[in-house]
Amino acid sequence: MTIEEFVSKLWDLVVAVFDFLTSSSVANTATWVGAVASTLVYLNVRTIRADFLFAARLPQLLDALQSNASTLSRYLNDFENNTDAIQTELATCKANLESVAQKMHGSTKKRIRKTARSLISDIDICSNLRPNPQKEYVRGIYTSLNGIIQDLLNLREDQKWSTRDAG
Amino acid sequence: MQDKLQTWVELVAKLNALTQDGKLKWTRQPIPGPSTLRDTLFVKERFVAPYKDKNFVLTSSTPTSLLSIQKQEENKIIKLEIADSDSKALVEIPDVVGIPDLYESVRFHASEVKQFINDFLNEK
Repeated sequence: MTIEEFVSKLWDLVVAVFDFLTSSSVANTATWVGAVASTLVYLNVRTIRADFLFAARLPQLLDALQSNASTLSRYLNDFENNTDAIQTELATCKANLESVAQKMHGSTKKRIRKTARSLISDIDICSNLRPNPQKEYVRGIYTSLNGIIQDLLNLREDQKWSTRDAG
Repeated sequence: MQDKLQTWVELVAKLNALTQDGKLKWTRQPIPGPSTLRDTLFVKERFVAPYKDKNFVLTSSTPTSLLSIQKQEENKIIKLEIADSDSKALVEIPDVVGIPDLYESVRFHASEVKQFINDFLNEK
C-alpha cells in the first residue's frame, strides 16, 4: 500500500466516523442521555440543598414547636380562662408545622411529614368547632405535637451521627 | 425503638391530662434517705401520685448557686418513675418530650395556685 492509498483510507475512515457521530440517531441518543444526566444532577443538587436547609433550620423549628407545646400545656391548666390565647397559640403552631412539612423530603421523613399534615388539618378542624376551642381536641393536638417533636429530636440525633460518619 | 418512645410520650401526655383535670392527685413528699453533700448542691422536689397499687413519682433536681452553673433552670433534671407502694423505683420512664410540661402542671395543681387566685379574686 502506498502512502497516498493509506492517507486516502484514513481520510475515508475519519469521514465515516464523523458521519456516524453526526447521524440523527446518535445525536438524538446523546441528547437524551445528556438530558437525563442533567436532570439527575439537578435533582441531586435540589436534594442536597433541601437537606442542608433542613439541617440548618431544624434546631430553630424544634425550639418553636417545643415552645408551642409547653404553652398549650400551661394554658390547659386553666382552660376556661385561656381559650383566646389557645386559639392564637394554635395558629402559631400551625405555621410552624407547615414550615416543618415543607422541609421534609425523602422516605425517612415521610412519616413526620404525614403526621405534620394530619395535625395541620386537626388544627383547622379545631378552629371551626363551636364552641371553639374544645378542651379534648386541644389535648389531642398537644399529644400529637409531642409525638412529632419526639420524632424530630430522634431525627436530629440521627443527623449528628451521620455527620460524624461523613466527617 | 421509636414506637416505644412514642408510647412513653403518650403515657406522659395522659398523665398530664389527668393531672390537669384533677383526676390524678399529686402530693409533695420529702426526699427519702439521709442527706448527703450532694444534697447541698441540688434543690430537689418530689411529687407522688398513687395509681392502683403503685405510684408515679416525679423528682426534679436543680443545681444551686454553689455549683455556679449559668441558667440553672435549663440544667434542671426531671425524672419520672413508676414505684411500688414502698416508693421503691420499678421503672424509670425515659427522658421523653412532655415531662417538663407534666412537672409544671403537677406543681401548679399540687400547690393549688388556681384555687388561691380564685379565692383572692372573689374576696370582697
